[in-house]
Amino acid sequence: MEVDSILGSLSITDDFDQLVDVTSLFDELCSKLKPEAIVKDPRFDLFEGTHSLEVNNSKLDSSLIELTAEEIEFDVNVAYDPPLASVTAIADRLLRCVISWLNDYQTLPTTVLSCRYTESLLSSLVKGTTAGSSWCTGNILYDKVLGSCILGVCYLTKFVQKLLSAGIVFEEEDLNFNNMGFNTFDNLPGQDVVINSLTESLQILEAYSDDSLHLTMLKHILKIIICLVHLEDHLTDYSTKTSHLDELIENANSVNGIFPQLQLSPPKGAFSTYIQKHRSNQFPPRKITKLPTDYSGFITLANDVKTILLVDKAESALETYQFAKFFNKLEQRHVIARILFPLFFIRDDRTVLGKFSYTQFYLLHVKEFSAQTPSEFESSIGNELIQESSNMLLEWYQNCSQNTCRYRQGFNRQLILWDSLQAQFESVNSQVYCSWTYFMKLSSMIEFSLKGFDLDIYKPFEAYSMFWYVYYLSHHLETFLKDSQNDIESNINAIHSMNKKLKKLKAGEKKDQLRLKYRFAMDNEMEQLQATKQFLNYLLKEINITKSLCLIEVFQFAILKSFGLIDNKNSTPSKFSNERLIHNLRFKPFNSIGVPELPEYEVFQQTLKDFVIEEKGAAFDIKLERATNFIETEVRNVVSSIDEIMQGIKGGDNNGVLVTGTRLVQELSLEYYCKLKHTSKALSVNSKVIVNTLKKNIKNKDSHEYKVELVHTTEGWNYFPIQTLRIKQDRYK
Amino acid sequence: MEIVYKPLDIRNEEQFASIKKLIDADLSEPYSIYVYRYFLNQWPELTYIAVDNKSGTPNIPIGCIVCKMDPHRNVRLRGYIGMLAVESTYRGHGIAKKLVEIAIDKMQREHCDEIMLETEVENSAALNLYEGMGFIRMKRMFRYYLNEGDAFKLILPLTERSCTRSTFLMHGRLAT
Repeated sequence: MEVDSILGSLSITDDFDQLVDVTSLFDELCSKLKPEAIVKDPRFDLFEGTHSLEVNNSKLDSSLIELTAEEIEFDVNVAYDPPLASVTAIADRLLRCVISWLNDYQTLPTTVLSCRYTESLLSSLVKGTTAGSSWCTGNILYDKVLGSCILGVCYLTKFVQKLLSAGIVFEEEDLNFNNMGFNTFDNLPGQDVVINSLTESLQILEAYSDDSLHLTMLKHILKIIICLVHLEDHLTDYSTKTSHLDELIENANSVNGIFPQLQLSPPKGAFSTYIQKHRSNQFPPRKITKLPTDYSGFITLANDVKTILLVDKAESALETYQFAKFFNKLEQRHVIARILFPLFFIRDDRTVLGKFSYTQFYLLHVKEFSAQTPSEFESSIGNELIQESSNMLLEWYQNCSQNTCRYRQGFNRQLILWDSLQAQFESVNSQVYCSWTYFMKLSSMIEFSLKGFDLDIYKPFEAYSMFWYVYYLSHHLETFLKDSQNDIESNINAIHSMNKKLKKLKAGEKKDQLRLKYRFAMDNEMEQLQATKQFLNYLLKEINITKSLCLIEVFQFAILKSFGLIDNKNSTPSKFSNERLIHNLRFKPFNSIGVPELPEYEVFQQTLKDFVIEEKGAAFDIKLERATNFIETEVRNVVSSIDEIMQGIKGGDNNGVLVTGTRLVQELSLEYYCKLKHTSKALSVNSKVIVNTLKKNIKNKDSHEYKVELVHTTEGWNYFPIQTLRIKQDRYK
Repeated sequence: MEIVYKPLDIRNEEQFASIKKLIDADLSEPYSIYVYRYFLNQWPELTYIAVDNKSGTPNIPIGCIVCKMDPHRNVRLRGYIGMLAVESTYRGHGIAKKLVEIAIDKMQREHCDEIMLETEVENSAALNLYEGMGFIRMKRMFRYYLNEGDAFKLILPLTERSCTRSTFLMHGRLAT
């Protein structure tokens, strides 16, 4: 009877006369369907398909997750014994879940949300929640101390959600925020309430007479969570204070010291896949993540955030530019730091670092690069074009904090935009803007190309084309920089010549006017001219290094080809394509670039032919020796240029020759140049290995036993892999 | 062993189920029934199977390739290799290579400008197979797969349209 009444309540109408029987229509339509036809919404594409779940498919249906009895029966309202050790173990595991989530890119449900206490708190959150756990065990450690830990971690989670919503990084790739249907993060109390709750918990622990390591550990955990809750200050107040980050490092180090002495095991079932089974889950089931065994992840987080905050101390566009170039270059920074950087740098009030409007910031770059003040060239350019360029520059900055793969893709997109901007500046005859844009475009083309080696995009047979092309780009950039330097030099000389003229002029109005002009130039222009000249010196050295390293790689490829070890095409011809098409596809990003024009396919072929030694016998040996000697000379030049740059960096750009703008990233830039130096030396050694090995084996006629691999050395710079000889493995042996 | 290659018979539900089983057992990504229906029902002519006529089950595929083709940004026709699997006991006999060749040949005859696919950075067998056919790595994708591995996007160019940026092909849009 009760069942009938429940089913009756599901009835949509009591008036059956109003209903239309569609059975026959349905049958008729079905009969017209071909068996292979699928009925789907037009918007259902492959993306929808690959993100679909499937009932009763154990790989895709999280309701099929099998839980243990402990997991099913786990009750947050029970104070599991012994309370201090258990609460410490739960809080510790939760923090290691945070590290796994944020440092190891794991998902939210398999880390933070796998904690039953987190789930319980988020389930109970309503607007206006004040600090306090949603469970009641009657034990203060569970109800108060653990409660505040969970609250603090949820507060951090909410902050991360806010960071993600800024659209800087990509969900699923850089950061997972599968919130399992919890829309309650906004109901969390404010930062002050959360901090108070954590501080009160600390006070409770202070009152304990227990001197166990668990107690010490739990205090450190609370302090760490307070530091994590303060992370948002760098965004809400653009705070540059690092005291909480230092405390985070200090406490994480302390915990790392305690870990080996502690046996921590949370109550069984406190962390599980329970949430995936029981809440709205739009993703396939996933096993609980293997957690890190210490808190080093927090040290990485704190150090990386500290690093990005240094940008606030930049005193010139040159310094912000160099900062952005280096801060994420050697290793991928923590995702929080990578998101914070553009948000801290490019602010909501449409300023850069709260100091410059976007346009001012852009003009500063052009000014420092050209040593001309904006007023001299601003009027001829439309505001729209300046605005577009400013946005492009900010996009360049933002791209610097992307993950290593997106970073290269960002450049790919930017190439055509820089090219288009340059063409627009050319059309309005604005040489200064045009020059700077050309510099950015060429630098981006080189970075995009070489980054491909770091990401293993190129096969060994492509090494020649890519290195020769970067050599070609470097040559263009070098010529351009030399021209710019000559212009600066002329301007400096013009000012000095005023002084000479002054000495020759007789006293009078003309002399007074020239003196004023000279004074003005000395007071307002000379310093920038000298700085720009020295910066161009640095850029020239840097591009020379790139050019030489590319040339060395090109020579090594040619030597390997001379021995018949490699060619600039696939070893087996494609049935469906051809070498020209494959080459053109590789150079697709550049084929629309106006200047420098992409050389034709034939030019690549011809230049390789020019490098390869085709002579036989003694003539071969002579040319080979010449090639290896050339490599040695280039390596020496590279090492010498690197040394000069490193000296400049170490001397804080005060040697009067080079301005590197690396004050804020001194250590990172030095490390980078050390790596480059190591690469140069490794290339030198490789030349000798290649020649010695192949000369010996050519006599034994077994050079076909070798193949070439692009190898990254651990201490070297991945943009220039070593073309290494390897003995072929017989796959059927 | 006598391997025969043939196109999918979409009306054969048993074949459909065995393809799904074969791929499910092999690929790291869990695919729902919708993914299979998406490919197989919309482009049945671009799915090929390999069967062993000498085995006890000559109707059960021991290998298959699943593809699609559609306009990419409305400017070029892109073929896409979605899935490729060969039963472990049949590997090392060139079956995968043959399946790929048959599928590409079909897509080339259908006027595709390029063939695209993604594969795990660590899957050297797949990389060797495709790169041996002329595919090149166009980009690397960070943590692309559910198993957290990076992926390469590979492309094989079939016509010059593949070698020009989409933006610059806009004037010659494909008729749809």
